[in-house]
Amino acid sequence: MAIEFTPFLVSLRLSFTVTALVMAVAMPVAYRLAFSRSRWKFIAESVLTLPLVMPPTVLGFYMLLAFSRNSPPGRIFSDTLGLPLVFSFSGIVAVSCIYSFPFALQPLKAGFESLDRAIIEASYTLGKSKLETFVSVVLPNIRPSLVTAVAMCFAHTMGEFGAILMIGGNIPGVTRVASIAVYDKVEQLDYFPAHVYSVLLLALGISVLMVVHHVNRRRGERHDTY
Amino acid sequence: MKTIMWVVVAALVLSIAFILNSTRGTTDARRPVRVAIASNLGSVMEELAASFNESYPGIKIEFITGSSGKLAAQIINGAPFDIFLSADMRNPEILYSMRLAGERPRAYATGTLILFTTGELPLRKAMELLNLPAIKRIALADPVTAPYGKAAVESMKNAGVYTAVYPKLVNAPTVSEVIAYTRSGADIGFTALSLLKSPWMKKYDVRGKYWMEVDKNLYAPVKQGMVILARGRRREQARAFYEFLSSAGAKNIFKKYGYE
Repeated sequence: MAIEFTPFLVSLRLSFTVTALVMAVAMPVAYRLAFSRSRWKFIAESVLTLPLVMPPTVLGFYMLLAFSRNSPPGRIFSDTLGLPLVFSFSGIVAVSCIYSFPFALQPLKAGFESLDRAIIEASYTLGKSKLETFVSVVLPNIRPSLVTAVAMCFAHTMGEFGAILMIGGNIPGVTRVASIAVYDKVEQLDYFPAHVYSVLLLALGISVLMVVHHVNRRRGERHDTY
Repeated sequence: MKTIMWVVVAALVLSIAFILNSTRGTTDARRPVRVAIASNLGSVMEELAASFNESYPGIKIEFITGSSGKLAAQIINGAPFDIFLSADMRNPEILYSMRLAGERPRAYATGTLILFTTGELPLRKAMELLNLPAIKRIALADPVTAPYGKAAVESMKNAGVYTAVYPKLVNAPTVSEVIAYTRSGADIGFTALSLLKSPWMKKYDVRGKYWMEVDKNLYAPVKQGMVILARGRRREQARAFYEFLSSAGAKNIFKKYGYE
């Protein structure tokens, strides 16, 4: 019996795309939030971490309504922009970005908050620009947080299921990601491929977590002996 | 030095994302025919596609399974399917009336409703069997979205056992999940005979031990219809498969899987 590995390619394609997009947005947002003294900060924080507590079906349902071909915004996306969001790869990228955002935001924010402001000031004093300081002083100093953010965002996207199923609708080669392929095979009572997919997902999940913990542990030790 | 490292890492991630995305363009040119199928067709479809590919080796057929109602809802919302094989005539009719299908639905098979169990149950006694105290959970496909579930409710009503067994009923999303439920928690379940004919379910295809047919007089025939979808992209290829499904060769395969 031949086992299709396309769902894994779709999952990897999705996870790489989503991780790149989310990291690009989450880094400046987390930086802003970490150093903001605004009274309204809590509102932004609540909205951005909402996906952590919201059932994926809720987001999937509203996105389905909003982006269906039968709704005005959906028509704009699919007919005017040529970028249909329902039952398409771009759609599951959009929904996964929203869902994985807090998984990158939280560790980054924690990293920025733990940062000693003095080294940033020192960098400014030595004539470095804001961007230079961010890239060569801030980021290297929060490396464990960066690794955690990238890994959690990537792994969470690999494991995302509910919202992708609602928005993507299980189209082979396009939106049938690995987690949905498991569901699909179980649904067809074909358990062998379901086992193969599940074991691979388990292995991937545990390896990502092991990398995170290993990297962070090494950092910790170095700090202790410092 | 550190700056360069971060630029390299970022460039690497972006290029991997780009490479993985760029494969999409090539797959679109030889996109397969996407057939949305009701769950009861999960087992017969592979053989049908294999037989079809003997005469049309170049056309790849892909399946998306689900309950008929759910698939129809997805098509209404823009799912990119070429053909829809429902477990009833109603859902294809709805799509036709919404002009999502260019021509009237065509019946391709009539399904067989069975009672399936993995336990030791006396399967000879008709529907009164469901009243047995040993049966605590009866699985059926959701009657709202799954035609076999609707047929199951109808047969229980006509046999006069529905009100008595109502508290025992457990809804599964599809007929194939009824089998999963019956293998794990439910004592007996209403499902489609075709599902027991797949290679990986063969051990349960023992009439009188694991399954019995539900009396055909108790429910309206599960007449299954299909349509070619107006929004489909692979018109010619879809048409070829659609015509094949009405051929004598396909009829024989359907028969082998318990359809009429």
